[in-house]
Amino acid sequence: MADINEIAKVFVDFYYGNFDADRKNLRNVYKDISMLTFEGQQIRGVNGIIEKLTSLGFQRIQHKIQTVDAQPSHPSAGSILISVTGQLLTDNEENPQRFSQTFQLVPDGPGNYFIYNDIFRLCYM
Amino acid sequence: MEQSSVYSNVINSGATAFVDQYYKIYDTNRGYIDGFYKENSAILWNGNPFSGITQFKDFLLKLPVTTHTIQTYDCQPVLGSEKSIMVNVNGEVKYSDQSSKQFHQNFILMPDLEKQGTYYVAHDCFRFI
Repeated sequence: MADINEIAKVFVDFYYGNFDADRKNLRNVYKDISMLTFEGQQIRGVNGIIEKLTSLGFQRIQHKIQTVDAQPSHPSAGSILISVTGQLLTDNEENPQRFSQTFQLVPDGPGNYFIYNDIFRLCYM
Repeated sequence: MEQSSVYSNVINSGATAFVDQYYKIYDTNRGYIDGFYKENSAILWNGNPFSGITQFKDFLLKLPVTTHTIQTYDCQPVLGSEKSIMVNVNGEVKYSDQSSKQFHQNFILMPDLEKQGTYYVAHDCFRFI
């Protein structure tokens, strides 16, 4: 099995790269059993999740990742826990907002994963 | 803090009880923090891995007096391990008389098969942000 830190890095690059380019592309990494808790709002299933992500009220977004931590969450199942912290800039905003996001990735065929758990929060001082 | 119940009320209330107790013990009675963990718990503290609670507790006991203020916490059930709960916490921590720092902490709570009806921290990942 590939090193989980390597998998986490590839995933984080993929996820935020697609989020910033075109959020609809993230449809492939969620399934009907996936969960997203976005700023406290609980959503289940890929359709609701993509609807939520694409309805967010900004045109452009740029994520800047600061830390990525990975742990095997259930070694026999091969799932991975990834905790991300960073900053994001939307549209013409000049002051970045800090965020935290935690994922659990679950294997989906050889070399593939999908997002089962996803919790996103903005962080305010 | 609002808690909706799309996933499960049991999970929400379990996470609420855990968050309340964990930071209370951490701030006021840190010598008992190991009661939340097991020897095989996986712990990352600001990027530093600890192999087991004994080593982690030694480290925590060297930190100054803390005051945690929880801003948000969210929870979800975890796939693959029945009844396990993921808890995601954001807040501020104040060390002794220093100014507050923002932190993010993520836990996976698993049922403790040795003590029925209780949970332990199987994973703990902490970061200053």
